[in-house]
Amino acid sequence: MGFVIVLSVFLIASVVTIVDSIDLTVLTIYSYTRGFTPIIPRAGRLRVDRDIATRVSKLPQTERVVESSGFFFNVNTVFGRLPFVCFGVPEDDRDYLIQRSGDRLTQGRMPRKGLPEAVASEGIVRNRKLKLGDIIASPTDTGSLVSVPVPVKLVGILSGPTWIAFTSKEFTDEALPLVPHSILVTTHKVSDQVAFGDTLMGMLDRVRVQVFSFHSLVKELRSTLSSMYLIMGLVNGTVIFVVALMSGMLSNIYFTQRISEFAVLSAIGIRRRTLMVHAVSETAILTTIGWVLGSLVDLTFMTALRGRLFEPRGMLINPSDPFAFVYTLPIPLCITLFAIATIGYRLSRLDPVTIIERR
Amino acid sequence: MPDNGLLISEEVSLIYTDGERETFALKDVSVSLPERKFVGIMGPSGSGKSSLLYILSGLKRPTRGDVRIGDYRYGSHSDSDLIDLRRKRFGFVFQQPYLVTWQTAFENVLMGAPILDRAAERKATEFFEQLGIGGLQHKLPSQLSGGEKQRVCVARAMMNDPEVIFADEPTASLDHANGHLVIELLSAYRDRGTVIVVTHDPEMLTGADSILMMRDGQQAGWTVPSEVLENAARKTVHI
Repeated sequence: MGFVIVLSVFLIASVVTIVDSIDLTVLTIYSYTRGFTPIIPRAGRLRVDRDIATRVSKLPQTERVVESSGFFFNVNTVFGRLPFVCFGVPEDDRDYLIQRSGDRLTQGRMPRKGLPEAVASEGIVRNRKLKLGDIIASPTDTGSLVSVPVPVKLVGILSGPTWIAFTSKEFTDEALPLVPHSILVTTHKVSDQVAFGDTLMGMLDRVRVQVFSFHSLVKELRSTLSSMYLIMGLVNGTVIFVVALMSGMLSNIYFTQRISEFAVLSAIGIRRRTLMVHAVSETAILTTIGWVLGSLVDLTFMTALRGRLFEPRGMLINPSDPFAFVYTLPIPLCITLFAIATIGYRLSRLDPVTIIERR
Repeated sequence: MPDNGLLISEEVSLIYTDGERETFALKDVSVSLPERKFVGIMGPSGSGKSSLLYILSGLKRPTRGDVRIGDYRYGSHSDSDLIDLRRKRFGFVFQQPYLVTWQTAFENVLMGAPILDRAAERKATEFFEQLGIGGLQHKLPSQLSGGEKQRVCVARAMMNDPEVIFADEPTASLDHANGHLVIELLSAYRDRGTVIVVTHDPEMLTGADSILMMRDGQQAGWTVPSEVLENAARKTVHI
């Protein structure tokens, strides 16, 4: 029975971890919106209207408004290649935004003014299996929103929690003159940025601009994935039910094998309540150990496969995903409840003499 | 019928019904079992000797009649009270040496103790020595022979200093030597309490103070070991 529990916990935790990787992947890709909020022009405009830019810059929360243009390159994700923006901003703004995002240059150098060069986070570099000097974006890229006219070389790698990429403003202005210019808005305190993004979403004219706030991205993603989460819930629910039923039956068989033991204990004067507590405690201990072992197997397995299997395929995995472990909790709970019900029923009908006489 | 014994059954009947047909496992059995004696119950298969033991020990309730130990009438108490009675005042040894498989011999013996404390542990250790199974305390039941297991059961039965030990065919699954050893151990307990042994084997009751003969669910009278062994004419002895 313990082995069944270990396997079930491992199965469910790994499925949930893998499904959660979709969420994690997208949130990681858009993690830069925690450090600054991009506002892009709409309806054929090339720049954010001046009145909007002025209004935003005068808000008390606003620390800096950075004008940016950029191009896109592809990153690998679980649902195929997705475009990722490389911002073209002035040097001091670039350093400021990198620092706000919690990243820092650890390899190579920053892009030179006007040259087709870029610096990108190590997450992107691993995702694309790049090394310094490789081409990060090419005119022949397919599926990109805005392609570059010349190949862009990776010259620096950033380390840190945020996926981010920069090139020089001079390069994008010269190479991509007709690309819409966005503004990147920052708050005085980084911790206020996410809430400020929501504020901007609510106050700006959505016909003229589009605001990329972290919460709006998360909401959009979860809405898109809601059907998949429902399916996952149903599959997990079914697995949990079947496993609980099977384990309950195994527990019942195990109890039947030991019925004479319980009969004798009852005969010598051990109360049925004590026997019940005894039997259920055994089941609870077994299921707890099974759950812990199953969780450890999942943690080990996912950690081992993260770098080798998942990340090269664009799936970001959190082996210690708390949601995955919470999802497996119904397994030991259901098994223990099933055991309480079946053992309780059997004990309530236990006649020690009948069993002792059966000898 | 003498009524000054420790354990008394009063016109006890145990009836099984199958549709309209009634079968008497026991019929109007009235016995009085004295304090601190070794009492045997004998009879052919189906004579009701085990049923009587189960009713005297509170494991089964009679269809008619009642049982009492001192002033404690079984019929006036709940099943739960009878479980307490068995735990506090009785000890049991069954044909099969049933032990909790995943507990050591020592832990199994301690299960018979009313309170788990140092004194109980000391007592259990003494029993292991007295019963010739010293050194086996930490063995699991699967590591013990049948005779050793049954001696562990005897030790468990004695842990609560019971007023009565009930033994149902305690030697049936043992070889001759081990059977005699277990009976000797039980017989020695008569200094502290009553021992009631149900058996087919008259040889196992040579040391009994008296033997109740059962036949067709009814008491066929009291006898003594010598008479049983000599297959002499039945002689009713009133004690």
